[in-house]
Amino acid sequence: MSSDLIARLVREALARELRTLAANVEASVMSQLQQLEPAVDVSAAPTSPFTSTDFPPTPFSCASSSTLDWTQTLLPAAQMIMTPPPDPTPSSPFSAFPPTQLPLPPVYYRNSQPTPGSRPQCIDQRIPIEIWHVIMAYLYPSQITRLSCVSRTMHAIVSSLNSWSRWFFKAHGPETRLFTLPGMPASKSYMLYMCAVSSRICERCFAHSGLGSINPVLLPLPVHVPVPKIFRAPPEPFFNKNGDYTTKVDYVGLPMNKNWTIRLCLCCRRKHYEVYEEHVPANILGEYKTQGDLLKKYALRESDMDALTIRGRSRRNSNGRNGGSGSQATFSEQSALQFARIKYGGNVGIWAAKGVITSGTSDEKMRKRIDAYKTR
Amino acid sequence: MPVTLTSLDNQEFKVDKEVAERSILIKNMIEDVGESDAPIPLPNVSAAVLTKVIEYCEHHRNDPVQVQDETDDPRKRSNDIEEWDMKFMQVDQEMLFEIILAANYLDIKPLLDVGCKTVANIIKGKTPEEIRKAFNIVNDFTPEEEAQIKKENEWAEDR
Repeated sequence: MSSDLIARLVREALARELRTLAANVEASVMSQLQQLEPAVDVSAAPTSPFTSTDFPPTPFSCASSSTLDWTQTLLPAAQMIMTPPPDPTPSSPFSAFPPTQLPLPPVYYRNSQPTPGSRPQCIDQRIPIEIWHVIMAYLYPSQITRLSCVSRTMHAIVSSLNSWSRWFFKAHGPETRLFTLPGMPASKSYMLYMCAVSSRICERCFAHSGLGSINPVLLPLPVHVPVPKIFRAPPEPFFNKNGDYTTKVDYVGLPMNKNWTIRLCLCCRRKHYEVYEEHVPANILGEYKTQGDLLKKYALRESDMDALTIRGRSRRNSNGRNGGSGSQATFSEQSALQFARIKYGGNVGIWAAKGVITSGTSDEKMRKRIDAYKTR
Repeated sequence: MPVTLTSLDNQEFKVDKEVAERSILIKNMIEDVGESDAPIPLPNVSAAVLTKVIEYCEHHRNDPVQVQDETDDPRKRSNDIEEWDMKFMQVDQEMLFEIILAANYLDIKPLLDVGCKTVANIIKGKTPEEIRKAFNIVNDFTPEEEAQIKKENEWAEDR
């Protein structure tokens, strides 16, 4: 009973204190209340329509909780900032990472729901999409499209690349508008269209070489791309996942497919072969041949012969239209090859100039693919 | 002044502040907290991975801050990997991806770039099947889907 009375008095005191905000009263009441708090709770319970659990917090408990907060702020700030985030499943080393927002597989395939639990540990899903985008920035479109064939996740990541529309506008000009396909992300539409016309697009500068028949030399032609030796050769000793230094080959760098090429336009081929020079076959070193032979073999023109190394007669005499009669001048085959390589953009350009490579079959395919895109 | 880092498995690493600050995450932490002897917990990085990351940071402790030209085509730079970095990245695929994830978490951009370049170089020139094999990725397409994607998504496949 007395506790009841005290509680009421205390409450009144507190209310008054809150109204007047008298600092000295506050201090005394606070100390008083903290001692009396349990008694208040017990006495208040029977008269209250609430159960003790959902009893509204009294000013006392507020006061006590505020003191708790204060003690927390007394802790070193570092401890709070660096507190590790809660780890839901500590067994997996990656569970502590922020969940990667991988997009669902593209909507336009039926049965495209991933089967749950089938491959939670696959690299394609463990690596966040932003990191995949950084990786893909180092790849050519032909390789990116191959990557999209690997799995559903990879396909969704590749389809979400912004690069597709950027490349589209590089190829077709900023004014061009593409009819994007309904029911799929715009990036995917750009990807499908760019893949449809890919045989006419340079993978480095994204110049579009125009439709219809043009000089095959000007087409984007397949060029071998070297990668650092280390990614082809068997590895030296390396660290495995346990941190041990080992020579046991479990290395990701499987032998590289030697037939890997990218399509480059004439201009990009020239630049490419300036850096990665094609070697001159040993059997033509020091060989000298007649003008007629070289014109045919390297698809050169008579006017090109000025640039070649000549043997026997002076250049002026050899350059005549009737120079074939009598003792013929001969030209260094090596210089002819090197000249033709620059003129046509590598060996592959020479083949195109000789008519070995034409755009016939790929053009036919491209038209079908564009039609397929438009009628989707 | 050395800084103590604590890995996921509670192993402590003492490194120079200069080395630790190659990680922008740690740099910001140290700036926010000020002088403190308290170890910095890195709950996302295991000891084996942290050892490698510290090895990288030690080697590159004096590197100037890279200013990257945004207009530059990154594909041209994909082969520019320092000799030391290339050797450093010769690890198995589990370690490679863990280093990339740790570099991402710790915000060490040059290390993340080297890791991504390495993965890109491994992917280069490989067929989808070879990529799956290299990275242990399961092919979860139905045969029809795979055929459809192959038909639509290939980049000038007839060489």
